Amino acid sequence: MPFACLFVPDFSVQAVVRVEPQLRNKPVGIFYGTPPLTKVFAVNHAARQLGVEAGMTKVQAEAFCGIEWRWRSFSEEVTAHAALLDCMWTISPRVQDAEKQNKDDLADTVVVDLTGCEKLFGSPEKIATDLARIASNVGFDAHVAVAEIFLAAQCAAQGFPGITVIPGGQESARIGALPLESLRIPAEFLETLKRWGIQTYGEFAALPEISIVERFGQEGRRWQQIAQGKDLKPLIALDFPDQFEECMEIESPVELLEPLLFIVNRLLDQLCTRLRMHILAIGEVRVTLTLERNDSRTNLGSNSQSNSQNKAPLLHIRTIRLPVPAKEGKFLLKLLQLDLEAHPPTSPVTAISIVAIPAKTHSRQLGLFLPLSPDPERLEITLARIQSTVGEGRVGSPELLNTHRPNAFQQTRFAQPDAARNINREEKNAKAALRIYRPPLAANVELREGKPARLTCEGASRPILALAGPWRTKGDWWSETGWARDEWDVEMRVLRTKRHAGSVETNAEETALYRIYKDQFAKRWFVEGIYD
Amino acid sequence: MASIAATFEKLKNGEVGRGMRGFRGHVAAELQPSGVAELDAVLGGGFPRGSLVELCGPATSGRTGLAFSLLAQATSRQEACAFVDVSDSLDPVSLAAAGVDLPRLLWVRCGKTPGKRPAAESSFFDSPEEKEHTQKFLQQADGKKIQGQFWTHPRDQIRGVEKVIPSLLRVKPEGRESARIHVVKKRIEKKQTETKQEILRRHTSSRSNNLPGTEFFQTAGMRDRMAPAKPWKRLEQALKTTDLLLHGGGWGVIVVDLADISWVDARRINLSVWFRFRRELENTKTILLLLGEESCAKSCASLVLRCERREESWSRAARDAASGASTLQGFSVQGEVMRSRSQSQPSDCARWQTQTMNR
Repeated sequence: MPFACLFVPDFSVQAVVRVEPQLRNKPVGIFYGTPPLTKVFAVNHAARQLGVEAGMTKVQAEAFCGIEWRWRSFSEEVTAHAALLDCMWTISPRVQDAEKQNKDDLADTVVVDLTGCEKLFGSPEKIATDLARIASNVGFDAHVAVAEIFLAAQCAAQGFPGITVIPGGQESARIGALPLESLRIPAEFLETLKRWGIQTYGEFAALPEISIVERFGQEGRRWQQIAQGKDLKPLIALDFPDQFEECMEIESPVELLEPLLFIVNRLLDQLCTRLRMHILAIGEVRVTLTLERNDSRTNLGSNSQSNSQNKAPLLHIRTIRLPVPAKEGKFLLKLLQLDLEAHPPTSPVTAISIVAIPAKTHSRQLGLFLPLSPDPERLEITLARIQSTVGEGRVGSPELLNTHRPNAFQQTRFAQPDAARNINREEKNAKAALRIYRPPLAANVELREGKPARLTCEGASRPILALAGPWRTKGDWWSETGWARDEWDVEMRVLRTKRHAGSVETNAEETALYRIYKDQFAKRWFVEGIYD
Repeated sequence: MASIAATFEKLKNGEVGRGMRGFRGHVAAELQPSGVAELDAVLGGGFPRGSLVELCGPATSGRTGLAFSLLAQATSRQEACAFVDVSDSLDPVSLAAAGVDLPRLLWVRCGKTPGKRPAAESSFFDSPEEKEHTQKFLQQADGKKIQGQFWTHPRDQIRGVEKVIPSLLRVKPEGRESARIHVVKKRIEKKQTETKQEILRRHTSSRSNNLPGTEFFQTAGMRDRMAPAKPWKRLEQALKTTDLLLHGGGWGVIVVDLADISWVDARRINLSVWFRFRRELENTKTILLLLGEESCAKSCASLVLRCERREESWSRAARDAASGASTLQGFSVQGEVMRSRSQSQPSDCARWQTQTMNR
């Protein structure tokens, strides 16, 4: 039962470099700790060659020139670990985090069970090479090891650089040559073993078990079993995530949209790459912007409760649900740009988190005789652009509400209906359309024998030439939103006179059909619209 | 001589022109039935696809009903259509009564100026948890807003300057003004006020003599409404929206409703806009339908149809003698071809009957 292990050296550094690709070939160091106890937490190989080591104080470390310094970001490490798991899930669903010896250990190692994968992906060497390539696509420079024993694969990945494949039965021989430091033994154990002259895994594994228990207790015995490559626990597979997240903390708050979009673009690219590995697309994107807080208000506040409330992060969350799952980051970036332009955060941004809800990729068979319809992805961008032009809530499909209330409709999101959906259009006669005035024009109506005889509206007075009505409607009388009105269809001279260049001209001949109504509650007349 | 003869032959056959397709290509354009059999018979099958069509006419001339009929035809073919509503006057009930498949219609309502909306307002995409977060944020926000640089283009920052500068120039310390100037200023103001009152009296007498409820006109809202509102912002939005829709492609019919816009204002739209639209429409199956009082796209329109309501159709109103109530059943419309590049000739007419929806 072979196992493959993926280990990312200098994980904290690589988690940062992954979202900042410009740091890839530069010496990078990570600070951690509150001042004045800030120390170097991790450095990459290039920085190590310059002489910087983990554990140095900030003052010592900053004496070295040419090194890019970043602060440790737990959120970036969490997303980097999730990306690492994604790499393994491309091979097999039986993936587990490596055994953590200490609770402070980094989640830089993941193990996958390769049982039954040879027929699908080839030999262990090929699988190891593929894993290294996939990890490289996600932004990791990882070590890969394949061995028959779980812990042997883990130790080999952490101890040997590059790709290591250990044939069955040679685990002890190969791992035994590794120095004890790569086993991540607690410092007090390591010091004692060094005093005994024990330098490698093999030497530690060869010590008598009873003597180890006498001197180190059960903890020492556990470490020896690890050094011997003995499996302690069965593999417990992790669940496949239902959402994918990428986040980044920004050291200096971003105030402008353009630099913010650069960061969003990087994160979206990472998300799309991860989803593509699972042949998935993005169905919904949720962007959470952590905003900078002004502490002045906190200082002014006298109440301790309000102070504790103010310490909560200020978040600006935007969610975009896509009718068609998207695979391209550029398309999502444009949508997010338009959305953020319409809904800008009111403070500078200090951190970004993008959560993608995956959806199955949309496959569509095109044909020569399909009806004309816009491209779904371009349509979304077009709708977002139109919305930014005309305002929110003014773009969509009209939908009639299930009520007799006049003008009861709502605008819903425009999404192309299924092509199979067909409507029967039986009536062939043209219908007279009503053009609505929004809001209705208030009017003054002179009645004769209970019927409208003259209408005054917008400063114009018109005799009513012909009329039809009344059409009385009433509804919702049991609630506060009830309505009752008498509708009349009237013919009269046009209310809004035709305007010629530089003058207003009234055409005495031109008449039009209007719909007017009397609101029975308000006891007022209105012109609702004009037939056309 | 031979080359001249060849060129002459090409000119004669209409093979010279953009794309070397010439005028002939337009003649053979695919036609979309309008849904009115009488009109389709005159137009040789319907409206030409991939072209700009104008429906013009006065109020209550049946142009909107005809546009709805065309939309109903297109949506029944499962095509996606768009309605750019410049004056926000579309009635969805009439649309549904005309047989338009509403989910296939994109309705763009122009007129509202999109501003920076407070984050706590309801949103198209907002979920309850977002609202909660944004509410919380607004409560806690300390007013540290990024002024003028977060998401705003410098061009937008100068908006409103023309209103601010005169007020800045006008505000002067009163002590510096001499008494003489002050008196002169007062006189001028008084004169101006009198002139305004005179205009107002004249206006009232000309408009509302012998009318009940004259005080109704004294409200500020009515005075605002009486002032002719400039439709430039709405027109700009409509044209930009149309441009975006045409660029996106894939639409069966795009209706741009300029019916409530004065033709004087509509004709102020630069002709190059219509040329650009026509260029974008070429080699597509989209019909760009313009509704308006008068034709404004000039030669860019492949078909200009003028609609008129025939008066004798009003007599169809049925009168119920017993109750004294009556109903409007419809009116007849006459469509006249004013300009056409297809089979129909100018002055060809069709007459059809429209029906009001059953209430």
